[in-house]
Amino acid sequence: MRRGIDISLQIPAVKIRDLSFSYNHKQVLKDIKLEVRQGEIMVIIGPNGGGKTTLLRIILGLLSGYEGEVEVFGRPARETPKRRGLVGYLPQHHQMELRFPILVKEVIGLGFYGPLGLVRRPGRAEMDEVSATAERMGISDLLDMPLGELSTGQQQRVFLARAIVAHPHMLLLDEPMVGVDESGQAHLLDNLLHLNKDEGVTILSATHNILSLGKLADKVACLDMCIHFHDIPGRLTREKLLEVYKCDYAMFEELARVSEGEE
Amino acid sequence: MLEVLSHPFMQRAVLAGVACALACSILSVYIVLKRMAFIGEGIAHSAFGGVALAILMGWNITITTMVFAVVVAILIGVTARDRRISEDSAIGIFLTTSMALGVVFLNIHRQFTADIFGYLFGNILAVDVSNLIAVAILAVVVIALVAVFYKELLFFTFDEEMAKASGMPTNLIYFLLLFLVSLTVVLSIKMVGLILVSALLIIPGAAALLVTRSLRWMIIVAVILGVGAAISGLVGSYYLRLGSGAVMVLCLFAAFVVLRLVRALRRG
Repeated sequence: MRRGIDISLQIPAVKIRDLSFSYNHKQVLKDIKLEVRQGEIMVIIGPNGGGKTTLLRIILGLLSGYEGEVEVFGRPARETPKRRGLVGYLPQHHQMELRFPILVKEVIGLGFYGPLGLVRRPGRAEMDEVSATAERMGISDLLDMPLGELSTGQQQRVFLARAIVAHPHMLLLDEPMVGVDESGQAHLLDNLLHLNKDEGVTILSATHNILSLGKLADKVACLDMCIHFHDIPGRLTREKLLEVYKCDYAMFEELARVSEGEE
Repeated sequence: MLEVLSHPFMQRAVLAGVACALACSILSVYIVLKRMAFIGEGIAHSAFGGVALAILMGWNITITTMVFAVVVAILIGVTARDRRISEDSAIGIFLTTSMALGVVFLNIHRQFTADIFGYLFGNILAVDVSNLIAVAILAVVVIALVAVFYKELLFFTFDEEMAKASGMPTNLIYFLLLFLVSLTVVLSIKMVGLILVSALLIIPGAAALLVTRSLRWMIIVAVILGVGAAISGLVGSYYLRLGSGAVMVLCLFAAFVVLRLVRALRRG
């Protein structure tokens, strides 16, 4: 039930060429080349401060002043906000104002802002969609609760519901599993897989912990200012990971076990 | 009926007070949630420069102060949005500069101006029919704009980045809020004085936040507190022969303390 925008399947969801970006004279991204095809799940891993959030914000059209080309479904990234409802976004959890007096159904309803535009409010059809999305995410019984009273895992599901309620073509996720307990993670993963396999939603997710998302990915990119490699997850090697996570041995050991075990 | 309300000047003051409190309380909700409390303070104190300029030039005080406050608000907003200078620094710069300009204007004027005390601390006797009409129009404008842009203001105050990514003109909403705060500050000065007016733009929202779980209820509770404090402040100041603005602010603070206790008791 996607609205408005008709896009040929040939066009990549994201196409980035020679992207460099500096903030306050500090280089954050350098010569990035990246292509995400429609219907793919790509996971971007990398250390904290490696530029993952910056890259997502550029794709969303929230940051300008970069060098290089960034296209989202065939148009420059700065146009993304105007192409309402094209991209859903799940920002990092700690960036939210969680004491805000807002009900879960209101948070999910905000996902319709893009398709509705200025002044028009969500009507019956939109509120039905809010209920349906909440049911899918297993949070129907939370709709009339204030957001601040939920657990982190529940809040993440609410924000994911907001990101998908208007049926976007692509979903950008920034550290979706941080603070979410194991059962919550399993639930989120199920939801993401369903969105991708059954509805063809392209997913691009950033994480510093590949263990949580690695199983999901068609492709994995490692970002630490530069894109280090760009491959299917089964071929992640100890050396490649060590190159990216210079000191996070414990995690890399565990991941190496997981990826080698699957080969 | 209270004897105090038989005086036409008190009738005007109470009606104007209610209209001001309506506008201030509604805006205070967004100011508190968006953490813009210091901006309200900055715009209010900057208005001193506008009042002094009007006195020096012999211009209409309300209109001059309004233009002055709106210009300062825009300057604060533009500087703060630049991101290199933080919002509180921007406010600090323009607040102090406007007040310094006000002092210079009054020095140049070189005549004693009793008026200025009324603007600093509020003077209900100064509320005339034209003020009453102005604040009534202001209250209607604030209520109408908040009703029309309810969804936008909710999204903007809750998650500005996401609102921007969804295609909302967030700068427009930000400056609309600053514009409404400037007008409200200037029109409330007569009653509360520019030193205390920012209390009306902060305390109702902050107190309401303590006991409400949704934005809608937060607005309703803030308005009840603000209007209640305006009426009791004006009537109280008449009987106690105290400054109306100060009594209003103390009433609001008392309400804040009570709601804080209610919250503490609820949490057991």
